[in-house]
Amino acid sequence: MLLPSHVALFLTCSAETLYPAVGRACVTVLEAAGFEVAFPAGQTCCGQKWFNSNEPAEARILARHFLEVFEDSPAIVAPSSSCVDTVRNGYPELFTDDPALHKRFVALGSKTFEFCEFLDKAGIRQLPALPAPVLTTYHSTCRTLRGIGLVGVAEKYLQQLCGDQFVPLPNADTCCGFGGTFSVKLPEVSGQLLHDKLDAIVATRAEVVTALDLSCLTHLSNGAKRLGMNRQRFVHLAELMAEALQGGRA
Amino acid sequence: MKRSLTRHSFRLASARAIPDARLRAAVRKTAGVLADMRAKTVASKPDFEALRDWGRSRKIEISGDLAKWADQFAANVERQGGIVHRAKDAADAGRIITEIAKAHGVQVAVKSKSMTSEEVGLNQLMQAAGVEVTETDLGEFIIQLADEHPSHILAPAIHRSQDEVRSLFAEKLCAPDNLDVEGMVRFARKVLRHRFLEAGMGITGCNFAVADTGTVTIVTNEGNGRMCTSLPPVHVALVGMEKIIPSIKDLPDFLSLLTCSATGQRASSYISMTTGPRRAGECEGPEEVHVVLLDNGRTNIAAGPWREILHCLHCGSCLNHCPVYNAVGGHAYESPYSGPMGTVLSSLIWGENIYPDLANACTLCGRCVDYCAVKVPLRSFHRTLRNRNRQATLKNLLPARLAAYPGSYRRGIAAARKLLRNKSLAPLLRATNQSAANWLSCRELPTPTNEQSFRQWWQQRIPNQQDPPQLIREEQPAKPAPIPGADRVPASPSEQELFELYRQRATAIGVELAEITPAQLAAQLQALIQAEAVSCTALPSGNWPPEILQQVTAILQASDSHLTTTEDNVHGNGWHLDDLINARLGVTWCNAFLAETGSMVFAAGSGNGTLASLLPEVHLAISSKEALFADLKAYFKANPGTPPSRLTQISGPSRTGDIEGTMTVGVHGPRRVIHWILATENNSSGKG
Repeated sequence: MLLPSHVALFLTCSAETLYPAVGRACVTVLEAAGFEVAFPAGQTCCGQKWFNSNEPAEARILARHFLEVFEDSPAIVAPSSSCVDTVRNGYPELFTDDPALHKRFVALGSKTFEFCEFLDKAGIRQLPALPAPVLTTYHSTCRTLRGIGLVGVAEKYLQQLCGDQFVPLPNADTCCGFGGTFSVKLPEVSGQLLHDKLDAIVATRAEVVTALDLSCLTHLSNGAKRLGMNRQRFVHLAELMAEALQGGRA
Repeated sequence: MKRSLTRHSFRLASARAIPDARLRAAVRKTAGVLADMRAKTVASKPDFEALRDWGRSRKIEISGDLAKWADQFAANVERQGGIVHRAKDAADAGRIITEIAKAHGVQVAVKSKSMTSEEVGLNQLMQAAGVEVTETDLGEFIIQLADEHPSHILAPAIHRSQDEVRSLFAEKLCAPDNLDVEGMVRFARKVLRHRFLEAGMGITGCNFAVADTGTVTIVTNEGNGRMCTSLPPVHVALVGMEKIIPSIKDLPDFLSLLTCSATGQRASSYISMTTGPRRAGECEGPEEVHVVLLDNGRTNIAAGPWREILHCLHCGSCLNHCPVYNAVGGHAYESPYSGPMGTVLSSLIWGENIYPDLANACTLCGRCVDYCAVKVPLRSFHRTLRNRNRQATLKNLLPARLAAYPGSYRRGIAAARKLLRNKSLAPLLRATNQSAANWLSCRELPTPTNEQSFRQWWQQRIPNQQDPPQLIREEQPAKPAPIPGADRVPASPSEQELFELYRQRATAIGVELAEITPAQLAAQLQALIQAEAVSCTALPSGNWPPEILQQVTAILQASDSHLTTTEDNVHGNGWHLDDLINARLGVTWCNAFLAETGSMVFAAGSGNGTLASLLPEVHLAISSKEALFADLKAYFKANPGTPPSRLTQISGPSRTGDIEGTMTVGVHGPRRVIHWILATENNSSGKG
């Protein structure tokens, strides 16, 4: 596919609040691939919480705002599969009764990409290896796998970054138990699934855990912290790529 | 039906279930076995994905006009001599079935597993009316003994370990307390065999109700469904309206979708297709067949946005693949329908007042949709069932408005970054905010580092515009050239290839297959009778090529085994039932066997029922090689028109995995199925 050389970064509310480093890493990697990155200052949140709670009036407010901010961008890149899924697959569903607007949302969705998905579509086939890779595993979040249908891409990049230090996670396609409001509405079940996922992570002996969704990573890393697991570092894949480009951990 | 019409709380029920590690281990073990079996079969069926798409589009046609298909089905059941009752709700269905029982003076009824009957609460209604109902599916039998409810639509006793079943059998049935799984299955066989024989009525559900033939199709592995539809004098099928499919031509593909998704079986051990009661001249089968067509909200569901839940085949695959179901088991849903499909059905059948928070019992992971036989958009339904009666007010739009306004959004982010770094926030939140306290129950609060925000960094940075790109963007490779001939329809397999496939598939499911010559028949049969110490052999008289029947009869008469046939009934045509019950070996002529599924097909007819292939411990079927068909579709094509009163597809021995997923043979039907194919010059019977 033909991709423009200008991209707009949609950082997402979780990255803005908690992970500025992920935003910086995205910029570093995109620029290293020759893209000119814009950061539209008017951007806010995609409204996923309202969409998933079936509160369409609220979700529409956020969708319209997103359209206003990003409609003119040639391509939109976000370090979060679930937000991309909301924009690409959720927004059009909110406007089925308005054909003109629906069409604009479909167009918007078709040029909104998850960060790693975008690199793959842009033809980035080879990443430099990390100078001193450690055992690294990958949680392929539900929205990465089933929302945007990105299968095998992150794993391929991780093999280039980490070589034989990349270890796949068993039961990779099972949910980590975050589920947005699920995590606070059914904390017992959420906690059980969290602990199952952390057990799987521990069994890999990995020191780095990556994913393409910051909300799942927040749930996992803070669950690990509660259990006193301090061996593992939870990072977005963009951060590992930026480290490789910059010759090591900044 | 929900056991008490009180408000259910999934939160409370799941919180009770989570600490039970033993329960979780049992559920995960069986669900895992089922999921693995599905994966294995689907991996070897390249057309399965297309089949799922076909299933969905066919179901869309059906759910678009439920009433039309229901009328057509009802008319054809009546044309075949069945009696159709329409039940508008659960109470109606209970009343109708109870009245049928009373009209026939039925005191004991046997029942094959039916979640629709659980939905109706049939057992309680029947028992209140003085009819004793015995569940005959092993899993259902176990939970009936334990006075519990099913926790999985397919494997109702999934939550019980074998140790628990052992103690239950010892306590309730005075069984020895040292039985292994096979021993428990044998024990249950004996207990239940008596119930089948004394029952005045057999009650079943229905997997597929075929509109253009009036056929009720039941899929089982143990053989209890066959018992219920062929032994008692009255058969009552409780059919949810959504179970109707338009044509018998649709049946093979739907069966395949169901069994592959449920257990990874290409066909379940038994597929019983009942078309009306026993016909003139037949010596087996019920004299009356009643079909109770249940609405119970289905017409309303079909008219609404969640219509596709009526497409569900009740295969249980979404349960097996759901992380929430796997963590809490089925009882936490407090409904006969649990897991992802159950969440939708329970919410719609019983409503938001009974199940207010069930739609939240989902992380929206979407795995259920990937494994659904007919691609019901379960994830989307769970989402749209949330807050479905809520009206947004100006007041509750405020947070969204603030989030969509850049100024307030930025201030909000900045405030959150500052607050979250404050160590005293967590205890304060825990004490004052329930959601935060729930988050903190197993996680710390996320804490931003002290570095500057992304926006500050972005404003201060000087973009790198000198260095050439470090990462190379390759042109996309052109689409691979199509492989020549890839779209060519594969040549239809030769007879030999088909036979080889039959051999593989039948052997894989435990059929003991041999090719023998007519000259070897006597010696082989003698050896079998000796090896199994057969004291009585059942031989239906119909269907055989005369010279082979003569030969087999002569061999059996010369053996030590007593011979019983369908001409032994003193009142005329039919079995002498006491002899049939004692038969350890049933010898039948099989004039259709199917390569794709490794199955045999038996049609009821004069002097030719299906009991000889069901009641004895060992079933020997004899065929000529010409009786081979590619699959059930090919069989239907060669045998068009009204199906026989009972058509049975048999795939291997009777089996169950109801105790901890441990596969055990010989539950209600035979533990050995032997198929001898006569390599013969004698082609008097075969296709068409």
